[in-house]
Amino acid sequence: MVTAMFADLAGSLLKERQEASLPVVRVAHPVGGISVTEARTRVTDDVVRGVASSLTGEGASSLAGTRERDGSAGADAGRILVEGDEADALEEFHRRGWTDGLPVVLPTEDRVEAALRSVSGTPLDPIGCLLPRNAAATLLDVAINAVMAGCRPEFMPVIVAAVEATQEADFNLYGVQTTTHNCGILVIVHGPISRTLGMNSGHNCLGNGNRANATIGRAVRLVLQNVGGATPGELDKATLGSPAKFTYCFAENEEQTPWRPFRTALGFGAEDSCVTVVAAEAPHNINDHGSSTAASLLNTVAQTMATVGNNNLYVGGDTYLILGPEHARTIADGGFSREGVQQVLYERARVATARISPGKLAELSSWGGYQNRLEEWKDGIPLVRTPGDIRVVVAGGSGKHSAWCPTFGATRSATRRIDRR
Amino acid sequence: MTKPGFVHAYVPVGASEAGMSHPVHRLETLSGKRIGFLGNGKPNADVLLETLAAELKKQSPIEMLHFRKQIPSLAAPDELIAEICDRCDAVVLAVGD
Repeated sequence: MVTAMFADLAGSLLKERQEASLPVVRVAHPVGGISVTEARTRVTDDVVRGVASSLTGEGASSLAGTRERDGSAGADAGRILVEGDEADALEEFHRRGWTDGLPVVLPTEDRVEAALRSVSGTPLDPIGCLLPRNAAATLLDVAINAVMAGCRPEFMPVIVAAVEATQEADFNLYGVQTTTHNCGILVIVHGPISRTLGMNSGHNCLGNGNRANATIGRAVRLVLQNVGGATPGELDKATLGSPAKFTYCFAENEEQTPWRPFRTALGFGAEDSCVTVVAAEAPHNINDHGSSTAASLLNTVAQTMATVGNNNLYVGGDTYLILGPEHARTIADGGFSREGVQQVLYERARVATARISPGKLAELSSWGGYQNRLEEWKDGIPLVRTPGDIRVVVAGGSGKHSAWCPTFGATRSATRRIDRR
Repeated sequence: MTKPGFVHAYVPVGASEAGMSHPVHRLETLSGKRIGFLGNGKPNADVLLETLAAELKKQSPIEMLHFRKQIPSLAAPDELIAEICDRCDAVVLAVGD
């Protein structure tokens, strides 16, 4: 049973997963946010007949049809032949839904081969099985989408490692790709490779102006959209989406981090380069030009995080605090380690249950384990479930700003060493 | 590979896993069968499925088994799917918002 507004998601999923014979019965949308009495009326006689006949195979129907995304005329063995010039071919890419809406670079044979030469392995090496489409992604698929994103060949090892990182079970790629939440894929690059590639870890590092930052994030998105099947409005059911779904990538500012670099704190080596993927909302600014003490500044950070509408509060997962270097220095000079920051934010970034609507509290209470802990958390629900779930990274230039990136919640970030070079 | 007046490029969507398709098992009758109902955990999903189950039971003597996911945004764990397969003749899922 699927509500009408999500029937296309079910249909696309069944089509892509080749489960065409699974029957689907539609009910009126929505089911949530209405009274129990009204919800019961969604089960009409037609719905009951539809389910009964589907179970017994009498008159069952399915929303699934034949695949269209890559099996169309002109596509042969992974290649497409378009009459006209490169501009005509790019228009065809837009028409087929293979872009993010912005112009792309046409993935010609010479461009893709150049990308492949910058990474170890053979073109058909498997990179992972990308959900929800259940597609077996190869190095070649990543290279094609990296070219389209405008990447230089030497960016390839970072993109491959990032795509591999999305395969971690706790990352929950299936949920991340299909959710109504607005998360993008935040890509954080750590260590020597970020400097080799000329990435921006300083002023405006989450903004425009740096090719590596811009195109690495875009390439990861294109891989997940095109190969993973997260086509906007079809399998990607984001209610609003976010600008972060075009590209979302920066390098850690290790030079101005007052603590150990993020990667070594996770146990990677001093010479390792790493990449982290996070299913995160766009950054929310934390402005504090006035605080001169760590305690005061951390209070500003905590109160910014203690919001009612973010997913972390309800679902858990980890969440990302990006401290500007000046804020990080003030906090470190106050005697706080990274773990100390995590602990104090865990204790202070809490939301009183009185601030949460009764309906939302009721929904939360139906989820496993949450109800039991409401008594424990009567003075305030913590943003996440453990202090370590508040991840702290330093980035940016001078100025008194930091940022908080709430996540999808039903996800945990993943960090991989960048090996394929 | 080149052809005058045409442009060649790679297709960026890769290939999906082949060989997953299998026919869905259907019951000969609902009578006497154990039917599982698995909601996605969103608000009122349980109401929808309990209402449906009650209506189906009016039509046929079925045994109803209700299951739920802990968190809507996470796929049902393998253990839960295995339990449903073990205990039920058929299962109805509810997805929505």
